[in-house]
Amino acid sequence: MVTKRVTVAIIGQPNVGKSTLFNVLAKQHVIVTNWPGKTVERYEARIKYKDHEIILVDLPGIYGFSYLTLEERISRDYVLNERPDVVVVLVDSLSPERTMYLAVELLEMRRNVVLAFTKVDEAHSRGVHINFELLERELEVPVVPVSAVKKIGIDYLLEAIVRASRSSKKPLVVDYGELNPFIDEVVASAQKAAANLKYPLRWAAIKFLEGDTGVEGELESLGDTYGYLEAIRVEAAKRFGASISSLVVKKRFEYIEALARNAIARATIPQHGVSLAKIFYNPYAAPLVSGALLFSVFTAVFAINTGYPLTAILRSLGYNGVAEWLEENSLSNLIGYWLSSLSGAILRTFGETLISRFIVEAIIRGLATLLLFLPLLLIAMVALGALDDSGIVPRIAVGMHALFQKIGLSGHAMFPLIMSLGCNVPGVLITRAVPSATERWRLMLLVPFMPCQARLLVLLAVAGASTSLPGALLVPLAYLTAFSVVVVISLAVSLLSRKRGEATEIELLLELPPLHKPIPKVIWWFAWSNIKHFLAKAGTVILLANIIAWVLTNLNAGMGIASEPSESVAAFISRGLAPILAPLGVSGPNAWFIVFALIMGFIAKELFVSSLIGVSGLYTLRDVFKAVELSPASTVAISLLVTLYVPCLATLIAIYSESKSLKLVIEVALAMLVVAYATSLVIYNAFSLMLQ
Amino acid sequence: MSTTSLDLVKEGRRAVIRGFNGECGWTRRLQCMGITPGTEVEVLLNRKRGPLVLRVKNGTEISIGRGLARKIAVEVLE
Repeated sequence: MVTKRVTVAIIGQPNVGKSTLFNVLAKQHVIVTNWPGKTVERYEARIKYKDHEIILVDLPGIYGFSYLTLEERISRDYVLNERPDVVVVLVDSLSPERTMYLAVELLEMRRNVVLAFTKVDEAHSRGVHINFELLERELEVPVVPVSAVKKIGIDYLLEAIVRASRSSKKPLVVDYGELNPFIDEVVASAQKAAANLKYPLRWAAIKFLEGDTGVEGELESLGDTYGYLEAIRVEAAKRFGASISSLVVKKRFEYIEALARNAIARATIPQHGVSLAKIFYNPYAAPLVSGALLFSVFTAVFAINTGYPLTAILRSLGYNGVAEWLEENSLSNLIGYWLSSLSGAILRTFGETLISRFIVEAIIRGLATLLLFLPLLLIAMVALGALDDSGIVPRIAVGMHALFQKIGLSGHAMFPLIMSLGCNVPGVLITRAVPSATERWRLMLLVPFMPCQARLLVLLAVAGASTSLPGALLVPLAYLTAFSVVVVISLAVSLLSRKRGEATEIELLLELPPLHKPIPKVIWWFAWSNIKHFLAKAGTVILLANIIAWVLTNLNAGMGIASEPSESVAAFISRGLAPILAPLGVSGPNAWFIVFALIMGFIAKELFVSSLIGVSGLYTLRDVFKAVELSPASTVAISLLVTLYVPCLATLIAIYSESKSLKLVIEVALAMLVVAYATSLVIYNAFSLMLQ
Repeated sequence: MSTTSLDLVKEGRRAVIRGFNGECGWTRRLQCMGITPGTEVEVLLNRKRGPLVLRVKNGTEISIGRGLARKIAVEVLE
């Protein structure tokens, strides 16, 4: 049997259910890469259908085919230049009149298209009835109702794809009324000059009249004729003013409305959603409800992972037994326990040779860092997915917008920042949803300053070990300082860009999908696709960094094996750097312990505590602090330093993989080091004065 | 009927979009989302501060910032 290969691009507006459908079609065979030279991820899958091999390419969600945003450029270039055999364009059955816009523009470009109406199961219960056969006759392309969640219509869709690949019909012609003569003139002259232009002519003519830079570049090759085309455009501008593109969009929607009159019927069903949603818009209730909701979700996430802050609450209420049980059975404790028993078993079986120590200390401990971080990431993503899929997230963003505007951000910033309290890595990853590039860039600078759970663990350990300092004071102080730093930096950055005269284009523009019960499958796809790709990347780097750190702590200056950590290359480097900490009151002969731990904390914050103990050869953090002769003021300063300097290697990798800008990564790292050092210097001097 | 900018339309009122004050990436995006000249919108939320929430074309709710709303010229329906 001969297999025929069919390339299929899937395209749709945001929120129409594109990734859900792609996941169902791809059946787990997804290959993730990046678009060449772009920061956006490219999802591809190969599936078999009858005697066809179908290659599915998931294009970024866009509202139309203009050439303004990165997503639009990627999707448009793919459709025009790579020429997939079929394009499947998704339309939301819940609001077909609005989401058909992209489909109509696509049909003006080509006719090897399938219209897939998503969420048909929901549309019925909401009283929306669509005559798919009529649409199919009118548009002359297959029109298929599907529901990815209920797996309805998937086979019909595949059948329609095969059918559409054989179609040879000309693109759709939309009536643009008074603009028609201008379009026709551009088409006729361009056709005379070059018979075989790469772009669909009528569509290109419309885009040219709108002033589209991408199409201009393509038509410039026409030489003398291009000058004539420009003259036509000047004429059109005289008649319609600057609003040609408004006119084009309007006519397209008129075409859709004419279609919808016959093909779409609505039974009026009372909408209960609005009254519930109103809570999120109330200026007083919004911060309260949103705050309570986020607080309870993240308390749950944290509690599963480490027990805190639930354990602290339980202890204060007198339930010490319950708190202890929770702590023992928290995920991070259980994983830590399994790994240490595995390490113990290896050391017992093979003895304490250099190789077995390398396996245990470099490799297993590296994996442990990753494994400890996986459940937190996964649980946080599942929680976020549930809030997002139910339609609550965008409503919270609306409620909080006014607050964020005060510090030069928008409501879009709310989720990345809150998420970062759990872990900075997903915080960086979900800045993707922010529409303004300027705001996204700003958020990647701010997110790493948010105190994550790993930093909380270090703070708790330090507070517990300090004899003269009330621990209850240290944690709130560190958090308050970190939040103030975020606010100050955000204000400073927006002030700076206003001074430079840069147009601030940070605004709120959000679609609010109807509130509904979240669907577990969709949540899982959201969570998994958000972390899978990252884990592989971060995993290799963390393992590698851990191996390098192990070598440095086990090698002495003469390239031999160090018998004590204090003779290692790492100790040698730390001693050299120790004077840096003198202004913070850390200057004894053992001050380099702290430097060493700070260097290790660069890989992952939790390593700060374990490496202090490891390098000093002492048993508790309290002993280490005594050996370093840490004063209360210095303890506070070091805690703030730990809270504010670069969170971990994984966050920096996340920033790089999202921005593809090494410059931004270096800027973030430098800014954090400077801010952390300056802040702890100020706090040290303030506390020294107070405690005198 | 009176022409004004969208941010001044009272909560609960309906208005017809007439045009945009200056073209930029945001106004294009608005149009592709269905907020085009001639479209009727219902203002679901409009307080003194903070963003607006609109209902557009049979049910979709869209939230837009106040600065953006100021750029949209509308005709308020009685």
